[in-house]
Formats: sequence, structure tokens, C-alpha cells
Amino acid sequence: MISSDGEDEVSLLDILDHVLNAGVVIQGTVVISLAGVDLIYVGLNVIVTSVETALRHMRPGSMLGGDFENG
Amino acid sequence: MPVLAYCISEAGIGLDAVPNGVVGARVESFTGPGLQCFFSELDKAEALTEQPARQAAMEFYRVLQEVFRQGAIIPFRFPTVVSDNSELRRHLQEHAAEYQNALERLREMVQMEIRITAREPVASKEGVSSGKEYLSRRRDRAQELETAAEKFRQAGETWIQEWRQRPTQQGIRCFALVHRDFQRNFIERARSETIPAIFAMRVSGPWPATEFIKEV
Repeated sequence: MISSDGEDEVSLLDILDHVLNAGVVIQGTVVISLAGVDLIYVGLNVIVTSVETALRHMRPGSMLGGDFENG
Repeated sequence: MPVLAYCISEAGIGLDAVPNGVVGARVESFTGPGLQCFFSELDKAEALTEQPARQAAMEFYRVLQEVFRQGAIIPFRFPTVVSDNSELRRHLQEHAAEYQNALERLREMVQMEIRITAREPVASKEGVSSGKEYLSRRRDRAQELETAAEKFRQAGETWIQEWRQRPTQQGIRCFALVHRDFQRNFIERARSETIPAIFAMRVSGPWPATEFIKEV
């Protein structure tokens, strides 16, 4: 048995995980296409991944997407 | 004009301390029935691509962080961009009751996370003599993770209002809904807990309580 790693600071990865994978998805109006998918793909790879995840998990009647897991 | 949505809170949050948002855009808010919605107008949606995604996400987070410091929030997933302000207002109107209920329930609450991960993966299929043995090891590992998670839940139950957990590829993520005033107690208690050496553990938070508002 060992003590916990004991680091409770919020890391950059934690932040990215939470802002990209947690929160309300406005169904049908994630207007990422406003900027054009190709353009976003070039500039925002991480975001494209997240949006695809969000779209895949969108469920009718649920304001928040389902379980999102990066790990 | 496209609008980037940040989050929703109960009405009454001051904007003075809220920093500029993504791509330096000013953060504004409008109020609905008992609610306040935070957003930035973008000259064009392409503005989001004018800087690295990581920087944009951090700027988004800083806005959330300041509003969350003042009260419970329901964040929008980054990057939620709608075509104009009226679309966001319409969304808020349509879901006002659900948001109000969620925010009332989560008022003064924060989400703490404990992430337990295995330092080494379960042996690969090739590393064991049979499929049965592999599955058996996986089952044992899952049970050990469940036991470790339960230990943390029991350790913090004085402060935990609700608890969620879900397996990941490397371990298990546990989410505790805790009153703001007791987040430090929770962290200290969790950090004092011990787990088997095959696991690593990390506590993070406070976060907006997104794990507790899934089906509003």
C-alpha cells in the first residue's frame, strides 16, 4: 500500500478534458460548419475531435451528451 | 453575428471580474428567467481558428473559472458557436425550467474528481496462457479498482452529497458532489487515503458539476 500521488492541482490536460468533453451541447446548433469543416480541421484538430465525439454521443432528450471518455 | 456560448448561471453574477474570452473577445451576458447566460460575439466563426486550439480552450476555461468562482454554472461544451444572439436566447427560453432546477440543486456545490489508474496494464492476451486467464485478470483488476473507489467514497462520505463513477481504459474516474465550503476537507481526506501500489491516484477540482446534471 502506498500513499496517494497527492497532486490535486488542475493540469492542462484536466482543463482540456473538461472544456472539450463536459457541458451542454446545443443539439443541432453546434454550428462548427459556420467556419467550414476543412478550415477547422486545419486549425483546430483537438476541437474537431471533440465535436465529432459530441455529435456521436448526442441523444434526444438529453441536454448533456452521454459518457465521454478520453482515457 | 456568430456567438460563442460559455455557460449559464443563476442571475446576479457580476461581469467586472470576468476576463476577456476566446480570441480576446469581450464577454457579455443576458438574463432569462432567473438565469444568466455568458457569451462572446465573434466577428466571424473563423476567428476561433486564428490561434492555437489549446490557447482558445484555456481562454474559454478562464471565463468559466471566474463565473464559477461566483456561483454554480452549467458550461457549454467548447466550442459551442451559434449563428446569433437570438438563437442562444431561444435555447435558454426553451430549457429555462431545466436549467433553473439544475442550478438550484447545484447551488454552492462543486464537483471533485478522483482518477485512479493502473500503473501497468493488465497483461495482454499474448502474455497469458489462455483467453480465460486474460478475462479473469481483467475481472480481478476491475474489482480492485471498484474496491479502491469505494474506499475513497467511504473516506469522503461526510462531505459527499452524490457520487458517480465510471470505468476508463486505464482505471476508473470517480466524481463527488461536494459543498464548496468543504472542498478542502475532501481533498485532504482523499489525499491521506492509501491505495494498492499497482494504482496511481490523483484528485482534481473543484469543477462545475457537469457529471451531476446529465439528465435534466
